[in-house]
Amino acid sequence: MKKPSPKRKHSEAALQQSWQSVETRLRGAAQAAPRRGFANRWLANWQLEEQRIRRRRQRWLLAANGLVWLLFFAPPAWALWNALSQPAATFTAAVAYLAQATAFGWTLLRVLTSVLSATPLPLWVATSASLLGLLAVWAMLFQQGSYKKELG
Amino acid sequence: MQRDEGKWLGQALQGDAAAFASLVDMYAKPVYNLCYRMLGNPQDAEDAAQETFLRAFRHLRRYDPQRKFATWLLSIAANYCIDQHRRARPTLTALDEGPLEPAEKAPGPEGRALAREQRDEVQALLAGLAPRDRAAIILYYWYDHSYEEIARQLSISQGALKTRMHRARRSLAAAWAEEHGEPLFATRRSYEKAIP
Repeated sequence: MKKPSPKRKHSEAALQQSWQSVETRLRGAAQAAPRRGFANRWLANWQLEEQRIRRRRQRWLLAANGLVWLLFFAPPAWALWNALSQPAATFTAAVAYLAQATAFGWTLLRVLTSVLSATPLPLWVATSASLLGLLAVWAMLFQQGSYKKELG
Repeated sequence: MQRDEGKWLGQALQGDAAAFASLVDMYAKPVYNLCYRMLGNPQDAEDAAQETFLRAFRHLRRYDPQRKFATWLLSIAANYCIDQHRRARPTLTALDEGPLEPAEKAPGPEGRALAREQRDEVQALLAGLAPRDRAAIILYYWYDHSYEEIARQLSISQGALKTRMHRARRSLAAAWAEEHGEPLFATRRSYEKAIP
């Protein structure tokens, strides 16, 4: 076996010594402590966090609600728009109708927003799911009807 | 104390923030110390410790009662601090201030000065380590956690942890030697013999 060189022996000893010093320092080092009132500050932070969570949840509810109503109203609105915009003479009537519809939609949205922000999440999810279900059923029936017409 | 902890945990699981605040009070010091050792500055440590407790309360349902609550909290704190390092690199280590309790009721200004000097020394040594290695060293030497616990806390294998610990010890010893003017010519193999 090769004999270790004096240089290597020295370095091993130095490392061992260094490590012992480091270990002693690590084991003997003080524990840092926070400023007084840490738990009270946490409680205050939690209250802020809770508000943030509530606001975030409301925003999501609102967005999801908007999407559901858009899906619900889009097909009849599209059909109506098509019917009204066909003859050129009825164009002004269509614009007037749309303006009225927008105003009505805006009022409806505001009412729904206030109702939904007070509605518990499970109830809202159940309502939205059933509305989407209805929409799907309606779409299927609609499709079936047009198919039969084509055959007839 | 253990019974209180169980009671507070039960209440906190029902959403009682005041009960959780009692747990915060109980574990503020170890969590803060870990954050301070990881981040090296009191303000960041305070923020990290607060965030740790917020996360713990938000995800309390994920806590496995088979494990120690302190271990779970420390793993959240360690991983949060590692993320902080990843986000804000390079981090400057502030050694000038720090709300430390005296090491062992240090008598008078001399003892306090000594404790401060040692703390600065330790903090400077730790600052040279990679965040995950630093977390491993802190959990091992300050909290006496086993390799198995640390590996689970840091989501790494025990083999990887051993490698990290070895690398961290080697780095600390080398930094110490350099700081104190001790010449080192160690090869990796010779060092492995010198350090357990």
